[in-house]
Amino acid sequence: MKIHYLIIRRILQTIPVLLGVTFLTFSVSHSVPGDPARAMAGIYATVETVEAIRHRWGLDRPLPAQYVIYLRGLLHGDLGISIQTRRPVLDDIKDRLPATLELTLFAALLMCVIGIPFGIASANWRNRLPDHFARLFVVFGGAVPTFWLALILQLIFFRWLDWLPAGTRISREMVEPAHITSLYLLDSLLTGNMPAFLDTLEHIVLPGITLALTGTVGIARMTRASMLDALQKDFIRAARANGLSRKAVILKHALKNALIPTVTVLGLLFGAMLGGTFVIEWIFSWPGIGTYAATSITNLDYTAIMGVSLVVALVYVTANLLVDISYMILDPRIRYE
Amino acid sequence: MRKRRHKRPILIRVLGVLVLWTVLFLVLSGSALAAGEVTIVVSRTNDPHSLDPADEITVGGGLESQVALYERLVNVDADASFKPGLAELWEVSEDGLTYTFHLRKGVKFHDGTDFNAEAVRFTWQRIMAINTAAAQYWKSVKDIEVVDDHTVKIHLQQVNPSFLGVLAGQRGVYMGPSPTWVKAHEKTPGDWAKDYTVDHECGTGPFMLEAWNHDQELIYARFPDYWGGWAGKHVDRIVHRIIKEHATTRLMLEKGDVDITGDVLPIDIADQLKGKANIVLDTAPTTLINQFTFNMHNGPTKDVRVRRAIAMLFDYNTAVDYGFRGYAARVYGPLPSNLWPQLSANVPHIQTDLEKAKKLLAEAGYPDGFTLKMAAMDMHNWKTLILLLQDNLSQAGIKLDVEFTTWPVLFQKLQQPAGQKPFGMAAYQMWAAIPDPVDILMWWHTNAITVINPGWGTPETDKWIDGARSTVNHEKRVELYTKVVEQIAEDAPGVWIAQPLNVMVYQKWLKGYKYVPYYNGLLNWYDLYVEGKPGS
Amino acid sequence: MSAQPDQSSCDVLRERRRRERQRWWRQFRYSWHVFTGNPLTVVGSIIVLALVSVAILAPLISPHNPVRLNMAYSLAPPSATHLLGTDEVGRDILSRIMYGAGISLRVGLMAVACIAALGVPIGLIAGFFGRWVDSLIMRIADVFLAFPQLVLALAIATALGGGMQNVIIALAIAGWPWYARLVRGLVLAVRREAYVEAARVSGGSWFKVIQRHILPNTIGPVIVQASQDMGFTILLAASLGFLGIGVKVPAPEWGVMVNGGRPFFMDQWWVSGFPGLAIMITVLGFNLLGDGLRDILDPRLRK
Repeated sequence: MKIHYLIIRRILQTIPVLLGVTFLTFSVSHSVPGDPARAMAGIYATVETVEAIRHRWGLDRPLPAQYVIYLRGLLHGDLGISIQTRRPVLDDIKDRLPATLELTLFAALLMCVIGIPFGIASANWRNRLPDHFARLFVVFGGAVPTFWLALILQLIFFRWLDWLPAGTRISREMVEPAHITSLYLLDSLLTGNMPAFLDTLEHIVLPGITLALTGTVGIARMTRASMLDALQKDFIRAARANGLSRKAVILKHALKNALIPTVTVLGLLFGAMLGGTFVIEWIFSWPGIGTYAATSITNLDYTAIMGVSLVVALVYVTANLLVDISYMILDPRIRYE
Repeated sequence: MRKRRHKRPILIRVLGVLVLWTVLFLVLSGSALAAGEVTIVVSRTNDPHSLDPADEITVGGGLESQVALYERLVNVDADASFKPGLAELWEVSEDGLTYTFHLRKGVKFHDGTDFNAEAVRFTWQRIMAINTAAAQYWKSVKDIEVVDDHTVKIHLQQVNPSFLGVLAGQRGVYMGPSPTWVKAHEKTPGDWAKDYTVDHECGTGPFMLEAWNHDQELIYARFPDYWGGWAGKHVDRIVHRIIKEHATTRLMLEKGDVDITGDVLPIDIADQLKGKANIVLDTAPTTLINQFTFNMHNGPTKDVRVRRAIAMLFDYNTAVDYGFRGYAARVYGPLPSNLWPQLSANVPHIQTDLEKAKKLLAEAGYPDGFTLKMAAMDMHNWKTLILLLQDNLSQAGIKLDVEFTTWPVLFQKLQQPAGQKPFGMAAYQMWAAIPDPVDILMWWHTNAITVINPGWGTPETDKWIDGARSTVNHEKRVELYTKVVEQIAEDAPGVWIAQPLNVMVYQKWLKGYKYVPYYNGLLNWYDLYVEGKPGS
Repeated sequence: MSAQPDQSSCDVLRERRRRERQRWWRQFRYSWHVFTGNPLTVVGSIIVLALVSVAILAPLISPHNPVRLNMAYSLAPPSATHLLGTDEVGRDILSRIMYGAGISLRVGLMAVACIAALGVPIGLIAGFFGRWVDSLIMRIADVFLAFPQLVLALAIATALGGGMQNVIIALAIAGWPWYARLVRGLVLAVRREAYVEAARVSGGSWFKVIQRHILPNTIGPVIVQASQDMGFTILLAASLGFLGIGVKVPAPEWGVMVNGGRPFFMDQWWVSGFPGLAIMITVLGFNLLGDGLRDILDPRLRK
């Protein structure tokens, strides 16, 4: 089959999935008990007030109608109006997404910087001390509850050692870096604003580590496995036989091949992390879409819940799509499945 | 042989850079405080929803942020007396249907335009047109008449003895935004700038909104032309920081990073800060009551003996000493003890008595207890109080099955018609928002608007409540309300846990804080100032 | 044919059975050898065994009552009487952790069972009937997989109203796609085998075909997956408890305990710290055990 046809078909397959995501989110969020109109009006409001609010937000329409209206809006790129902020959901997400993106990218960086070397060391010095150490790390890292780790890190570094702040994104006294990318770390580097850069770094370290842990474990494991795999291959032995040093062999040949599955796992993890920020952002008062999603649930803000789910699902689906497409391109065997 | 270039492994290089950065920031990181200006930092757990006083009236949803920006016509003080706000004087007509307000002169909105009678009328029109949260407080108003620039007459549809209290209350009665400003920012003509007012403001208050980074912080700066002037002691800037975790807020308080908490801290945490070097623990009486109520129509709680027994099983002393850490006082009826105390003079004082309770239960036919469903919120110290109740009830064989939910869900359960309420007991807090018992006793009417009423009441008690609301004769009102309170005491539809104190924690260099029970959850921003802060 | 089976065929049968038994023993001894050869797996089994014992013996070995309040001793630090300290209403944390072991185990077991019970049949159907049935089911699975599991489980549990039962149902609804996908893949692989095609063509009912040919090949991997998922499922259930959806008060579920200690965390860290540690050790134990089981049952995957 022609590769283009397969790729297009794969892309088209994501559309029903995204639609399914909206349907699932709609049904589940509307099943959550509680009346958002009452939540907005407050305890002391009269029934008329509550009904007026319900009408204003279109919550008095029958559910299927609300769903159709929402879908129609989606076609125009309109994610609806958020009940809790009274602004378009798209604006709310645009405001908060950079914070989450920055955290996730930082965590991804940590995952690579720590996970890949661990995996390499583990494969290289197999069954010796570095391997045992790395495997112990993997085993413990996979068992740590992220919410607990977040609290413990705050306890150690904020309460006991007072080295790092326990929350928010930047200190009050700092001037926010100019909004070029909205990623504070990048912006402060680009504008040469060193104090802001260091301050932001201070704030992002703890939530970044917490978010990165589970992924680091996965990356380390995957790198180790694919390195071991690659090291067995014939061309490696040929390179060694030709006189290349062991280090050169590992770094140049084996690593390149081992990194391919690692990179794909990273892509998938990125999407998964976007959902993992949910708890971490709350504990660290990080102003991203995780916090937004959490407050949306307590405020019964249906449009916001659906908006965030859609964005997260979009990222995850796109990551999966890219992985599948790259496999299709790289591995001809897959095309015949 | 070619010299081998020493290639350091990537890992070591990255580690080196990280170490370098670590050293650098430990050395370089410092803060740049603006010199001369006095700024205070307030912690908040939630981002405000909206700054529009016509649309958002809940504390936690934005009201606490609106009060520095907008003002009322009339204010009430802690002693329940009315004080001038934007109105200096007022009179009520003989028939109680016309209120004349003489407005303060020289008041300006933040956009420079004048505050006058026309602005008052405009505010009212806007509130009624938008018709959301604030409209209900103006329901009894028939019309607002502009007599001249600084005189306005409010005509009521029927007599309302608590109307002044409503105007001085904390919800829905703020003047603004300025008519010019509204017209300038309408998206479509006649939409009253609904969308723009969500995150922009134009009030007459002492502070203006300087910046709002959602979920991060709000910054207020002084309004230079504020009618009250800035001669006395005030602050220049207020920074609200959004910090979600109480543990973090508490630590930032200790370290001095936060000056005062905008939302009340859980009582256990506040208590732990007592005695810390730079912390002040401020307590003040409230008009709040924590109570449990019973399902009056279904289940074992149908029987008044069962209700009395449960009231005697609850360990009130432990609740006050530990549930409230001592920052509360016993209360014996549905009203706080500082609200027209004469009403609660003759209610019986229920004390914990295990034996009597068990006897009553046996009498009612439940010697071995039963299972009871409890609906409650997991907020403030309710969890502790309910665990205590659960423990107490287990001693008589009563198993309490607790369902903690958010308050809208709790509300939905409370709202079910009598006879269909899905709980045996419920837990919530009542509050007198105006210095008038009507604010609490109206909820004991059988068709109370939101039916928090657990199902108590008869047409006769309804008549008493209605009667007291429709007359301005003070003695008559006292008489009728006393009847209601005493009937409630006899029927025992609730367990009156305690009346909590307001506990506010702040830095010792922050002065001027004052709690007014009728402005529960709001801070008096204009009066705050800083004195004796180290390094300033 | 004579009515009596003659001596020689009896002997043959007995011999065959004896050899089967020997082979079974040999396999068992070999698996045991593999199992105990890996120190990590041994550690895992010890942890799990300890956990199960604590869960069963909790009423006997717990030093205090886990639910009676004792306000005067609230938030007490670890001491001789309260080895792990007390919580905000004075309950002994060690006792609560012990009783909590049973809750975590029960929830983990039942959740994994429900997830498999939901996912395996769906996967079977998808793999067996193929074509549009398969496509439809896989698309639906993709929809569920587009959500982070925790968030999906949280949303469903909230909608259902909380409580242990609803948590298990929510976990099942959030977790079935993995098993469905796994089983579907296995079924597809087996279906191509010639003997299965032959069985179908020769008129066997599809139910029988599944039962005799497909099921035996899928049970192994499913069990391997389940044993590896136990740890993660317990973690997920504890996370839900942490987010406020879980067992009803005053049950000592570990995630709920960590959540309860949050406001005091900076100074009375033991209230949240120790239950979290218990979660970690439990998940660790199950993960190690799961890995060890996988090494035995699926030697191809062993590195």
